Amino acid sequence: MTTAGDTVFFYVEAPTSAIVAVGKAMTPARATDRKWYEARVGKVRLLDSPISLAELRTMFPDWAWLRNANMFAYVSPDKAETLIERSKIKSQKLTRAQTVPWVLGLETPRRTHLWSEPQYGR
Amino acid sequence: MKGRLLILIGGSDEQNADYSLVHRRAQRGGTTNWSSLKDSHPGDRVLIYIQRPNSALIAKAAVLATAVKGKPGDYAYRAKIGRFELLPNRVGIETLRKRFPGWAWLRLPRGKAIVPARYADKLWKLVHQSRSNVQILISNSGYGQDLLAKLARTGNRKSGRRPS
Repeated sequence: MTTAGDTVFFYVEAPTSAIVAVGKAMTPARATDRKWYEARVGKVRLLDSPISLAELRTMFPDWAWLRNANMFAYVSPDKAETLIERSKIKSQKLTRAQTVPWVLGLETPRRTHLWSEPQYGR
Repeated sequence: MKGRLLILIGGSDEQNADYSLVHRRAQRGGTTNWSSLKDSHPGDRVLIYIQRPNSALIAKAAVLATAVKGKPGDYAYRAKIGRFELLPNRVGIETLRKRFPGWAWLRLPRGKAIVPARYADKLWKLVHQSRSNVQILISNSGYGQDLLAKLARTGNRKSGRRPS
């Protein structure tokens, strides 16, 4: 269960298909009337360079969750370390080997708008 | 002396909503008659395995009463189980296969099972390990993504929802 202080990455589903932000859980998870639990999140920071699903699959080829990333996931300590380090990388510092191209053909106007904001450098 | 360690199977919410049922029992207490092994008896410890897409051990419980034969058309045996608790460390099928390569049940985890004695302690320890404090939450690409951008700009706190 989520507890206050946990680090949370935000994965945005298709067509974005990428981890776009990182934040903190501000409260422990609590049950709702439905199947969901919920927690307050804060200290959200958009990643300077979002981590695409393709890049995640390259980083963690054996991670089953990445085959169908459609639900909440815990991140094992070793993967967490790698992800946290990767999330600090700024787009201009990425080497070719660290990047996987975005599928630009699938971009929607909404996504294009969001990703064209200055802080993303895209 | 510790009782046997059983694995009982549950369905995802898409199948029969056992997944949600386990969460409700863990949150609010209570017992339920669960499909079980014929010789389940009080004192047996239980790990609940939820089938695909979860494919993971998610909770523990205890057998509270001896199994009784199911009604025609129902499961063969059911036993009253209670004391549900979500596991600190959910363990997925792939991790289990890596940790217990010789355990045949893991090849096709469909049926209930008694955890072999040689694996029981190791498995019990594994599911009680402290979990990671890093998680990934899912957001949709419309409202959710806009909300993230707003949160990042304003620093406001919002409720994030996740299945647990």
